[in-house]
Amino acid sequence: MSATLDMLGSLLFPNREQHAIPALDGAYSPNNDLEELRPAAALDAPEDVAADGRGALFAASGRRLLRLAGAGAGETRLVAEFEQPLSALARLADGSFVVGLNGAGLRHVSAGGEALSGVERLNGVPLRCVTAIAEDPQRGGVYFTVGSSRHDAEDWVWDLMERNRSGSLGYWTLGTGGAEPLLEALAYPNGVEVEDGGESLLFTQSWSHSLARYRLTGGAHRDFEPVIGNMPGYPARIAAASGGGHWLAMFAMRTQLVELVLKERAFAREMMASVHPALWIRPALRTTGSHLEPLQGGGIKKLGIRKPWAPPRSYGLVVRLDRHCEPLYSLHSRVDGKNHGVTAAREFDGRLFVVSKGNDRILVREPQAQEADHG
Amino acid sequence: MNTASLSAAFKRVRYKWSPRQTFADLFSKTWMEPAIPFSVLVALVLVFAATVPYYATLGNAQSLGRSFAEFGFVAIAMGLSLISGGIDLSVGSIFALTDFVALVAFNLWGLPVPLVVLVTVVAGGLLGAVNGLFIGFLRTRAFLSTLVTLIVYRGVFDLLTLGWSGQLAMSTVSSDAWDALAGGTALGLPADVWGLAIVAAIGHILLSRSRLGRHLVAVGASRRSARHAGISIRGVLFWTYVVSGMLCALGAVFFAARLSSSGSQTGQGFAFEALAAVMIGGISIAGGKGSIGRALIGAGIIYVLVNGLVQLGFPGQVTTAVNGFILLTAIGVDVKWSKNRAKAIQKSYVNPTYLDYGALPDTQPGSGSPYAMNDRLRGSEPIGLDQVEGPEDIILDREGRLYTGTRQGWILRFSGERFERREVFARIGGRPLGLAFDRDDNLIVCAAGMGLYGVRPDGTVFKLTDETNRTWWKLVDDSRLKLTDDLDIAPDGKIYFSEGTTRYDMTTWPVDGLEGRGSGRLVCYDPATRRTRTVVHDVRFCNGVCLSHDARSVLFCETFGLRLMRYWIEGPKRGKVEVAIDSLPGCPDNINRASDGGYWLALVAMRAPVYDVAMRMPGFRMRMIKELPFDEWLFPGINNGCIVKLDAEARPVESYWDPGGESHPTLTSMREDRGYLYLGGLENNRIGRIRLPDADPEWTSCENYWGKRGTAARANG
Repeated sequence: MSATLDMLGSLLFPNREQHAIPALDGAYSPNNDLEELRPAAALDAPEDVAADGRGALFAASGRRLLRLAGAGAGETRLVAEFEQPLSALARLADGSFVVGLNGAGLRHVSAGGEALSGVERLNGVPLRCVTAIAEDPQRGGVYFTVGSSRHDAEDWVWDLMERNRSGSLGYWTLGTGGAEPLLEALAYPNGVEVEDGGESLLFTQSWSHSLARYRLTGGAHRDFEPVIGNMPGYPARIAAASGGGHWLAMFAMRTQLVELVLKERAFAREMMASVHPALWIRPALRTTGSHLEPLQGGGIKKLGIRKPWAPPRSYGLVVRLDRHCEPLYSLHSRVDGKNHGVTAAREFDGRLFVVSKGNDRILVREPQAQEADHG
Repeated sequence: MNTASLSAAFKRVRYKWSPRQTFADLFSKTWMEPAIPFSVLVALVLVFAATVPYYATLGNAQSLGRSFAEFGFVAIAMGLSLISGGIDLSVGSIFALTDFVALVAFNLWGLPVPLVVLVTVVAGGLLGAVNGLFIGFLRTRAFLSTLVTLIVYRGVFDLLTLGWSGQLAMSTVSSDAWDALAGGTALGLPADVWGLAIVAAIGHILLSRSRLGRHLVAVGASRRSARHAGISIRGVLFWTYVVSGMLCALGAVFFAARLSSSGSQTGQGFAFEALAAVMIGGISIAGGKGSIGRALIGAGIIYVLVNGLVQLGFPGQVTTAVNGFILLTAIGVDVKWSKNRAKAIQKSYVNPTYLDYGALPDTQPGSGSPYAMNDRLRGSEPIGLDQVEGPEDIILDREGRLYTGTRQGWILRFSGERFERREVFARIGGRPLGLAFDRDDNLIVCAAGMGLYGVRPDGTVFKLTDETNRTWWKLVDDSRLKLTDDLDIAPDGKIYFSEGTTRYDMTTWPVDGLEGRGSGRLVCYDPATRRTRTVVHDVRFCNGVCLSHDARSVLFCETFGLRLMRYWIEGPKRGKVEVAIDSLPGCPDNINRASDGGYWLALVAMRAPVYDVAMRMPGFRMRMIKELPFDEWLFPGINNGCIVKLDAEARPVESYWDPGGESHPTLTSMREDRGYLYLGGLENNRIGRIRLPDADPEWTSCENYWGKRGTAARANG
């Protein structure tokens, strides 16, 4: 049925946008740079990182907020522990933190870890899936993305398979009990960055594989402006890079088989109804290699080798964008690698910290001699 | 029955047979194309027999046959010119002129009938030769040249009839032979039908079996290639039009005898009707494709249709319009079908079916299931690491040397204390898969793509068989062995071997798994009679074969049916097939004997729950195969190594795993020998072995099958 519609569509609208998954070439050309990065810390299910500018690193790891002295090399100290796994983390200029909790809204905690305030609803709907938080430097509140209003952050794959567009972009004035929505019906927004000193926001949408800009100061421009569409992977968090530009993390790659399953509703429903989510045809943060996981033809080991270009169930990818959001280059951990499922890449003092949730590692990339921004 | 199982039952029935596959099989046959117009012809006759009064009577049939035969000659003439890559539009005019010649020769010159026929045919040949001269030697376009001769001949004919019709009408010459041509019958058939049948038979043999016929087809198919092949194009084309003219003349003789008069309407519109006829019969206007039979079938359709419409009382304009419409349809079908036939067959070749694999057996470590996962194969000792590519099957000889087939088509032999010495034992070709030693220490090999071969101890290769009996109820000729997979040898020397699938080959076998229909078979070769015959049909990828310890049955694996089957070769159940193990947790590959009286069974791929879901959804698999490239297709878990130990009754006892396939992905075979279990893999870069602490350290497969080597065997060797 859908194939017939596709054909009809291509006949009637020959110039419509094609959604073929782009090939990994140009700025996306594969390499092993991410695979070869030095691990700064090994943590359980790290989600995001923050820094205090004096050498200490903070990481959201499972239900715990940790302080890693000496950028991970030194001792680890617990800042706070929550009742739910952390789904997002931001450190504010005053040293306090705002965290997103899986299924349980936003929480503002002090530098010492005491809870200050929280918000659990947006527009009357429970905040179950806060995916990213960014501080507003002008007003002192935080912008945040909500991936889905139907699923907890940990159940993101359900949201993908149901093809929901129930995410939103919101603003929370710290201390108040209510948060206000800015944009709604988004396809799993999964990262937000404040641009130009608070003039506009950049945010990603995983299920539409896109990056968009939201202008806070109205004027002649439209509020919402697409920046990049049809990316080869599912974008996650975005953060500013030194010298202008951005770091964009992709937590998994798109594959033709997953796209087919998304189109094949009957199959997807049957799969959701009868198979454990870990064993679905789906993008994943890591590949376990279990014989119960689906295998694709290109993934068959031949002569003892798993081809790095096989269709990826999980993958590691960080993309460097220039100041115009054009991709410059990228860091990869390919199918035969381990540093997969990158949920965040943030630069502090010239060092890039990459959170590989799939491999339970925080990786560090030392400042590069020639870090030129060609934008 | 609840809705879910009801819909499952519906799906099972709906996908059991595939009309698309039948279509693909049918249309890959060359006899299928004339079969369609032929059934149209039969249908037309039936329709008119039902609607026209007195249609189905002998008298009507005879009168139909008479005038049909005359048209039939013209249709053959037109057909020949089309096959040669040209067209002969002047057939109607030649027909008219030669009709006139025949009448004059008989009525005015008073020639005897055989001479009349000869003169007429020569006249037709001369008229055709004019066309042939222009087209063959002066290289003019067939269409324009014959259009010109059509007009010229018609003009001459009109002039002649104007001047001679009076004299012709007054003629009183009569002859019995002439009347026999006109109205005589033999065995109920009119004389001209006999004439047509004889000419058609000779023409068919000439066209399909003779040098000239092949040259004619070659010139029509590709003039340039024909010239490069040394065919005289001029001569072939010249003679084509000469013969075309002669055929028209033959038709005209019968016409002249029957009507004894020549009207200005004679042969009018014949070119058009004949063209429509041969095209609907399936002769391509592009040239090089067609036969006499097709021309006559087409002629029959047009003739019956026109005649039937006339008998029903439709005016002539209607029949002409119908003719035009048929010609238009035939041209359209000809262009589209000849261009897309191969594509249509290819597109409808793969047809997944509904397969419910049942509950997935527990493979959790510590679950107590015989399939419980462990890592007993992880510490395997590698043999020939990176020196062997794809050791699908392995076997050891009496001296303990290790043999394997590789993807290069070689048989490798490893020998020495740690198998460090590698040599190419034989180069068979194909893809050597299953291996077994016979009584005389010959290594019998299933070479996929070739058949059943043997290698003598000195390394020379010989063929045993590459064909089996054709399955009579299948459209496709499946006698040639394609994907021969594994074998075992019974004490009486009979070799039981498997063919994975008859529809796919070594590069496309995964499609057979996704299709899930099963076209594999178990075949038996008897060296005593040198006869090969299929004993079990329609297996969902017939794979490993192993003779039971008591040699009363053959165990064979149904890889994509997830079953181990037993075929009885002796005892009360002889010839019967039964299921030994159902719903395995993976796809069984090879099976071999164990020293304790049990068996070893390799599972080449494990079932993933999603794979089971996909196997219940044929439409999804079909679209996946069509829309995605091979590398993106869903596969069962091939990156895994699992061997199941079976007891003497072929019940699963325990398993040996290499989870994740670190050393042994695509684990397809294992062979026990002197207390070790050797491991082979279809896509692997090594052979492995593990020690079996509880196994008989003296046991070897060769001695188990053939006993200790006797003096007789040694004398032979």
